[in-house]
Amino acid sequence: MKLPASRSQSSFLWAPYLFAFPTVGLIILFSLAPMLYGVWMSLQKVDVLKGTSSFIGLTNYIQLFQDPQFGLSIFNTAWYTLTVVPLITAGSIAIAVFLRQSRPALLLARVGFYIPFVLSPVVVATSWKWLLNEDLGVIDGFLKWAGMSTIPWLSSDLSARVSVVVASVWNLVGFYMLMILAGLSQISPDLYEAARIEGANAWHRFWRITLPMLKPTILLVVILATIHATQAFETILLLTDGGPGGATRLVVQNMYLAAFGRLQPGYGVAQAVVLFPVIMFVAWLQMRLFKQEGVI
Amino acid sequence: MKFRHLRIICISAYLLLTAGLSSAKTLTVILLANASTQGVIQSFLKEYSRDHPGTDFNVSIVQYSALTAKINTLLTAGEPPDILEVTTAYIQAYADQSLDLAKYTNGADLLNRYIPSYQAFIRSGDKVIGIPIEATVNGLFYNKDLFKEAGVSAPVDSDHVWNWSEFKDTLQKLINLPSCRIGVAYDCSVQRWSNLLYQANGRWISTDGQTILPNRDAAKEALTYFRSLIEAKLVPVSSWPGKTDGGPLFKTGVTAMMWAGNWELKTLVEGGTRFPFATTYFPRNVIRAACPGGEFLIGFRKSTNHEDAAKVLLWWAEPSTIKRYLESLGGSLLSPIKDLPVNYGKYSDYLKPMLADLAVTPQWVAEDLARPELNLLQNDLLDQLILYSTGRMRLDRTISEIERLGSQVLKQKRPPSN
Repeated sequence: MKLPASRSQSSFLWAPYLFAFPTVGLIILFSLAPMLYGVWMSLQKVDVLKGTSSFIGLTNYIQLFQDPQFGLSIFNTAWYTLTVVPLITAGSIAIAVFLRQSRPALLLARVGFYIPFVLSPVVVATSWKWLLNEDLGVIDGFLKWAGMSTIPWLSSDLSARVSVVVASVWNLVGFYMLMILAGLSQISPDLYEAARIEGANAWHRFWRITLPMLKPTILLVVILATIHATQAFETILLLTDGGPGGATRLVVQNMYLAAFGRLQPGYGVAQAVVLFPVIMFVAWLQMRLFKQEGVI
Repeated sequence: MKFRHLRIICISAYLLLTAGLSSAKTLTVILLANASTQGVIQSFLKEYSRDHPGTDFNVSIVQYSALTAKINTLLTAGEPPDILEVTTAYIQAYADQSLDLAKYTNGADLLNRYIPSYQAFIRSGDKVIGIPIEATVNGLFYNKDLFKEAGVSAPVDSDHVWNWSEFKDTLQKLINLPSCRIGVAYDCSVQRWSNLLYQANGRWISTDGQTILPNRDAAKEALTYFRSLIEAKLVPVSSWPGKTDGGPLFKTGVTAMMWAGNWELKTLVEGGTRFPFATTYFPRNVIRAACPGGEFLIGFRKSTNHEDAAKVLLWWAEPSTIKRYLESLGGSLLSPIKDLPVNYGKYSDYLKPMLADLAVTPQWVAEDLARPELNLLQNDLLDQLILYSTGRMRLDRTISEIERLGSQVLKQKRPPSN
């Protein structure tokens, strides 16, 4: 019952493609095709309500680079990413190192740090909104009680940006802490034992063993946190709605407003098309830096 | 033989049942998430199903902030819902796609049923694009204890309303009280701010739809006055630009007044407040005006069951249905139908000043608010209002920015000239 050699060989040649087809097909259907459609859409003037569109070439892109709101949203996204990513990375490492032992109190603390991540963005934003309320909020109330001057947390540009970063880091750090804890569990205790025998103190052990061994996990955390930061939306929308006056409006919210607020989906997608190579470049840069360090 | 008969009976019963089921139509309905109305609307739809066997409803609830995204996606996919609940801000945006109710009844009679302000929202050329199910209006709420403590009183009749300056002076006296921490909780939205623009006899878009802020002096006056309220800390920063809702701020008891919609009444009255409160008339400037609002039901001409949707909408447009609906809600919302004897019950006294403000509001206010271009500009306008009122931008720059943004949208909506 052996198949003829030629038929068997041809089946063998097709087999890898057949196995890859479902995955590749889904990627084409749900990632590649929408991306290409998005690029096409960015060259159109789309009337969502009438379901019509007309080719307008690069008009959306020209308009984009003349739009001060877009420039501001790029600046805000960069500011947000450059503050949130290092804070999340450093914070998650610090917390994970501190909580790495499996004592009951520390396990409970881990749960405490993780809970904000599983909360709905509505809960996170509403809680922070009331904590930071300038007139009746707990934090300003405490500052007043302590005889200090209050801070306009959500109504001045700088403090609103800081507030958004604080709320985001609080929300996400628990998730990345778990990733670092997983990375820490992969480091052999023998290394610490040997270092201790050689006389290394806690700082040296952290600097010479923990950090180098964690580099692959840190890379993953940095890349994921960067992607997370560039896609940040719900919490900021609910906490400041991009305000005051656009000071915390990131590119993603700008896209949303263009597409669904002003009903200009072509213009909204054009922003995504511009953002795409920027994110790709940042991810490539991160990979390259870590490659130089020999992490990957 | 008996078994064969039984089989025939069973098959016949099955066929009858499936035939009956296949003739039943399920209309898709999208309602706005609103704790006080969504349950009542659904109970009315159930009542309609009971009275009209063969018509059923599949209801989805959508958050207000997600409404446009949801509807635009459905429209682009060619699957509009049969019935949609919309607000004043959105109804005219869907005028082209909406079902023309004038094709199913006498359009003029249907329009004339409603008070003039509401006709502007549902009329699009010769079309009647929807039906208002409730009317809302912005009003002024005040904390009676704080007023008493400050020794000030609120206007009790429409002949003696405050002017802008008197309103500000009153707020100043109130905020000087140690127990008063907020002057007026003023929701951060274009609609709420527009009350001042209209009171200054200004409007957002000219009658011909070609110009933004046609009365520039009125806009400047409204902007300057509002900024003076913020600078004097009479409007709290947590409202402008903090965007905290006025309702929770007012409920704390340390807020003297709230500039909000009449829908807040239900929460305040039924949710309970720890202090006595009342409502009063809006201050006047050049004219008296308040922003009308409300909820509407519309159909779509390309929806699967648009004929049945039209029947449902016309049933709901009956004065008796609207009266029952408003009374089922407890009477906290207003009737959009002229001279409809609705029993507002415990809300009657609270609604009196708001109804009076609504009655003197010119019809062009509703026409201006109903413009779809204004809806498209909401976020951009709010940014500019915030930037000016919080001192980040100069007046002339604000006006020119609004004109620039407005002209872009007006150009986008304008039909191409041949």
